[in-house]
Amino acid sequence: MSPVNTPDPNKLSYDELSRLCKELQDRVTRGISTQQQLISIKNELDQELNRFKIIQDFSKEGLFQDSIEDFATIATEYFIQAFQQPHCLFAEYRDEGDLKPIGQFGFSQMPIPEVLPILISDLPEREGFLLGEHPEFKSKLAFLELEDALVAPMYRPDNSFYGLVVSGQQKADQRFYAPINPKDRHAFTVMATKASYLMYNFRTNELLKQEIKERRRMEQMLEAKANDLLRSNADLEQFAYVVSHDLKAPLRNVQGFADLLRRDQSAFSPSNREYVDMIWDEVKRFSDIIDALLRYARVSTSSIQDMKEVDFQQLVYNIEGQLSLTLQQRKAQLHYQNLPAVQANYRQMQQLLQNLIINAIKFTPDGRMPFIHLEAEPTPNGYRFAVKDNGIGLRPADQKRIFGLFQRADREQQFEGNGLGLSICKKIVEQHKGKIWVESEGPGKGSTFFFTLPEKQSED
Amino acid sequence: MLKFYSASNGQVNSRKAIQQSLTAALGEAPPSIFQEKMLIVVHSTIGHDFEDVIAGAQELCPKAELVGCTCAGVIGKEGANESMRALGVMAVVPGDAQEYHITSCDNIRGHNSYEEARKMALELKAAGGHVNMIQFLASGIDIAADRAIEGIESVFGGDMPIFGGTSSDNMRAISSYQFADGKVLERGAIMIGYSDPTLTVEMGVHHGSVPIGQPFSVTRSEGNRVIEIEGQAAWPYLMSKLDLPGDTHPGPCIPVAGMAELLPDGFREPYDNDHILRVIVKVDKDGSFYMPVDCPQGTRLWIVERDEDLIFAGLDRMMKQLVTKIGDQKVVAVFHTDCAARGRAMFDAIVKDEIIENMQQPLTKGTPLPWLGMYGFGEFTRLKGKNLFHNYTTSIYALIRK
Repeated sequence: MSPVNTPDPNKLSYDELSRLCKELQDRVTRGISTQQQLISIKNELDQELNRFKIIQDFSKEGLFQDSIEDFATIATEYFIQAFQQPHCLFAEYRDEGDLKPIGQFGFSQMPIPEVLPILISDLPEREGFLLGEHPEFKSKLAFLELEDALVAPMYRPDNSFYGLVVSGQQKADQRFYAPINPKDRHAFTVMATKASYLMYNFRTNELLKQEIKERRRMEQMLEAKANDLLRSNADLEQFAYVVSHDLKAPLRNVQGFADLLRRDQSAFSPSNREYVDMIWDEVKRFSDIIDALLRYARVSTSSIQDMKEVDFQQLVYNIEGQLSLTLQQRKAQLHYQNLPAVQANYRQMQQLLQNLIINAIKFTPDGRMPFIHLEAEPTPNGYRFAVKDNGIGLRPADQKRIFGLFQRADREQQFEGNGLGLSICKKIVEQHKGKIWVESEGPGKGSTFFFTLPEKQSED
Repeated sequence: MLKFYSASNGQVNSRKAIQQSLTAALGEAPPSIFQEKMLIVVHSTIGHDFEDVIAGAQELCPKAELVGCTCAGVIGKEGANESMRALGVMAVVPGDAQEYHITSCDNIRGHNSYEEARKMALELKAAGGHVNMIQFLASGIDIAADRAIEGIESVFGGDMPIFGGTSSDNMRAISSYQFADGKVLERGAIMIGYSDPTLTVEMGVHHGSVPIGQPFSVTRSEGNRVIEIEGQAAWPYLMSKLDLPGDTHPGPCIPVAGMAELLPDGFREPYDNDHILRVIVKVDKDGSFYMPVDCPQGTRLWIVERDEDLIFAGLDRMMKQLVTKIGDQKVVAVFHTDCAARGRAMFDAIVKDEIIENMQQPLTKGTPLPWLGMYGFGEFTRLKGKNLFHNYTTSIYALIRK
């Protein structure tokens, strides 16, 4: 017989089953909250990853700003984006000891002082911190009306204090903004460090840019001056050419009439004859000066296309032939050997050497046998020529001056000349991108005229 | 013929944000478009300065009418952005005819939702034009959404497609804002009546949650206010089931405290679910809470949990259905309302991006479409020929050129 009304001790009652079922259901529904907490943790990780992406973007964009103010504006915007706070202030510590706000976000209605009333010694921590945890520091930033904020000092690469960044919320913001997560201070420190390095690089770039700008300005100024100079030189040359050319025609007439007077002097008294001779001499001298001026003006009109290889040994040989009479008359000796070939304008080289050799003969006192020695030695990009004489020599003060127009070392004008020969030489050498100078141990001790020429003339 | 242009960004400066969005959106059109009359629908997260947003838009597009609302995140063709300062725009440029009309109100609440919505609908009708679809954006905190729908339908009839959503904040359930007529409203609503005869709208809606355990019975209620469940103060009772303190603010509970209600038979199959979900964003001190729709005594409510398989598979099914409905017709723009709880509160970044990609790809087919979406508190989406209010769903509104 089975006991019908006796409950089976191994089976649960309906009430017990209901209770267990309810308990199970409660566990399930409570699990939903746990699931949600896990999602929140995942979310925080997502946020952190996103933050580092933002820091990366900031690094890319930060440097390409036009001014430090633009940089600071961008910096505040990136801090807002990364830390999801409504306000941000970015201040730079200047050499004069001022902490100057240079960028701000969300404080447009707040009266921010031009210099923050904060000293380095006021900073409670070296790394990022929460404003709410440091009431004394918070009171120094009271004008910002922040309830709480992330704060981080910034440092230069040499660890010196470089500024401050603050990002946080005011009381009214707390309606929608969650309290600042203290864990964020680490990422905030990282971003502040990034910002300080970017600012440092920006400032360095700015200095470089300024320097480049200044150099460019100077270059442009020099270029303008050089252009002016070239223009005035060209004008002057043109003027000299035109004047010389136009003076030549009336002078030729005067010379012609003076010639006629000299041929028939029967009606002239002795003193008148002397005057006519003087007129003729002066006209000739004037004509020589005009010729020299024309030669001078023509130097610059020779173009680079006239350049060809000039054999200096052959050239001097030819000049020796042309001056043979003068050399014989003065019993002058001209020595030269192994002179090189150089790319140059043949006619101008002829004029250059002729002028130097004639000068050497001319400025050797009568009674002394002129001795002229020509030589050339290679330089890294061409040759240095030397024309040495045993003439009257030069005082140090005259050594530079004599290359100027109408400048003569011979102040008493003992020697014939118009003061243009060496100016022409200088112009020819410079036209060939060379240099000319003279060395002399002093009056009576002869002179050596040096000039350099590049082996080849470049097209510029 | 209306033309649509959209863009979104996470620019934190509000003026720059709206101006960059408009420039990006309208960039492909001739430059003179900025001077034309147009409608700009804006969705913005709560951190933006809305006055600046409005001023920035007026500066760039002086003849534009700007409407919109706040949300927990913006979804554009550029993806989703739930930061404190995200913003998206849809610029709607009419042809020669006036192809849209706007009305708004600035005080819509639970008790007057029907009247305010009806008033707006009447104004819209009076404005003229053959309205063929209505976009409705309303405050998301304490509106009685079903009553608002009834208000609109009392003027335009039940066949008028209504789409849109309710505004939200950043899931704190404190305040949400709307923009209309150059003003920022806190409890407002905006109704846009489109009357472009060449346009129709096809909608898709889906949620991926399933009820768990036994339902609770509403034992005392007034309209959409639930006072008691199982004879106890409603909110503390619900919180106890979730192992949360009885005085917990509804904001943080949104992702976990969704309530499921059984759907009538005919709607279950097209909804791909037997239950429709309700969000709670307002709780009174006495422990009563507000549902977005009427909740009479005896209503059975379930706690729900998300089902990831259902979320993905259901979304695919929804998109397939939508694509089938669209057929060969051309989609010209997409409005989109997603529940705030379906953003980062429910998914990590990778899953969220995948979900959005799965929504956008079948419609865009690789070519970006003007797309403006938001994570709001609720969604107005038509289901089986009936305008309904939903929560916790993805709702897609594809505007199609006939």
